Amino acid sequence: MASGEIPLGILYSVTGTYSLIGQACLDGVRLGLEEVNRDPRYPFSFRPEIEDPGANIDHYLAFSEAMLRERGCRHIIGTITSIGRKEIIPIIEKYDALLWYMCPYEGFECCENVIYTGACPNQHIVPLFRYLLPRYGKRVYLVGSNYIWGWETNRTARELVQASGGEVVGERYLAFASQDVARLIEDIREQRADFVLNNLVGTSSYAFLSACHEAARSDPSFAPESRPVVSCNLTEAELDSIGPAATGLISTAIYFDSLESPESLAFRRRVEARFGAARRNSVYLVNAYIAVKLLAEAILACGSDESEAVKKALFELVLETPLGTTRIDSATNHAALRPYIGRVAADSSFKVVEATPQPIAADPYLVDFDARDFGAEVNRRSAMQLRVVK
Amino acid sequence: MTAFRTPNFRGWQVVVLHREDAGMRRLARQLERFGVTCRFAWPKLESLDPAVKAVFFDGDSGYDGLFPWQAGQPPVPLIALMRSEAPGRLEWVLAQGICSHLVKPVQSTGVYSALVLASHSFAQAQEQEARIAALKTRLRLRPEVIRTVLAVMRLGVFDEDKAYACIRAAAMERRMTVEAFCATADDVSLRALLPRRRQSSGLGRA
Repeated sequence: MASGEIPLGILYSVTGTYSLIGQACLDGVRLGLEEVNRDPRYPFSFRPEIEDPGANIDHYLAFSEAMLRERGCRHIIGTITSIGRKEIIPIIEKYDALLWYMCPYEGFECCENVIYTGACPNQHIVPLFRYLLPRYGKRVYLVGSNYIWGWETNRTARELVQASGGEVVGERYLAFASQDVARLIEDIREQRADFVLNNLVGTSSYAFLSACHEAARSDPSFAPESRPVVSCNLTEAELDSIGPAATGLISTAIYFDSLESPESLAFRRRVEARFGAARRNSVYLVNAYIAVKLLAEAILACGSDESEAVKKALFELVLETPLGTTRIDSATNHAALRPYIGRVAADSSFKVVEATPQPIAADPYLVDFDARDFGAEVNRRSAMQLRVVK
Repeated sequence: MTAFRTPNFRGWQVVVLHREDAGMRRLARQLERFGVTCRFAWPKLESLDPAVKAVFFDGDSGYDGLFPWQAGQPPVPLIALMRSEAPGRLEWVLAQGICSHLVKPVQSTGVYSALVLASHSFAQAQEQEARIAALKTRLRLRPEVIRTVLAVMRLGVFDEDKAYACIRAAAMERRMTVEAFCATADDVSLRALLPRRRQSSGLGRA
């Protein structure tokens, strides 16, 4: 029976270009950890071993190795970018530990020692484009930060656009943390895109949104109702820093703070009680919290924090969470999730414009996805949309 | 720019020619995640089911006669599973005509790219082989072209370029390569290509 203190590695960048996301993740872990440690149902408590790699790729490996080798951790909750995750997977495998990764990512990975609770492409870009292409048009501009998330999400987007008979009218990348967005704005203006997929991260993304907002003052084509900026990773965690420039942005996520379900409302009250009414809740905070809860429940069920035993117990779990019900699929180590599509309203909250009725199983390698079927569905929906408009 | 289509292996069957151990079960589990089913065989593959799309094999213990096909001419993409890096082993593995490899112990990372690389390079190699075969045929028939050009020059009192243009047009009309056309042409068929007034005596082939 697992009892006493269980060390838990927590590896989030709370400084650096995407620190707001890191802070949301860390807060979610803290909330989950405090609840577990207070709850007499668990005969153990978690001892947090927290490190901040500061979005610097050189620190990830050393920090995680110290957690695994010196501090006895068998579980690490952490990493936000795919670079960070891929950097530490070999060491996680070497120690046969588990990495709990809870951010949306570009898919095409299925590691035995990673539990994936964030959305993969069939749970983010596919539903997002199924919603957008029939409504806003098929001339699409792709932007991203210069690394795997932007490259691969944009490649998938290109495949979706072309399968629907549309056109990618531009594709540009900015170096990490770059705010040099002026050329991007000019090119989007010239190419007359119908909408812009924004895979920039952190400060680059804020600079871009602010420049689009600015451009809309003199050029109505940049108004969000005519040419929305859309995203698979922009959440409430960053809205306050972006301010009014975020209004009209369309994003997909597996959770929005504005969800009215009883589970979500109850969670929001707990977040407010812990972090104050001003604290923004987001999918990052919720999902980090859920990861701690899943781990605690799995350890409780199997009586050990050993990775194989935890995985086996985890795959049997059906946990009530702020997302509704959470399950991890033993075939893929990924969570089944319900994607939502939301638009940022003037009060800087997401208004849900489309909700998937049931959780959908993760398909990290897009095995059950057929681009031609997708294109046919988009075109059918476009025809329906035209009839509605008439 | 056209999007690189997401590789899809849904419904594929593969054979793993290797002792079934924990590492190979990990390989099988990873393959299942791509929609691929696999069958184990060792120490020998007696025959290859035509439904099989790729073969993984033990590069460390593989030996001549392991495969039911002529050495170096696999009918499907071959992927070597390797721990040894001894040059002799690598030489043997290369001689089998591999398209990619995976380092043992097999981890979940690498299986997908090994399959993508193998299927891509196999298709590319097949395409190249077909092109080379076609080029070889054309090369073999070059003397026929020379003979035919000379015959048309004689029959029609043309210069070399005009004679060739005349043959090329005739081959295109028949949807044949110039070489294939020349191989079947005789005086009668060549005379039919020429305006009456330009004809003289030709190939001497009836």
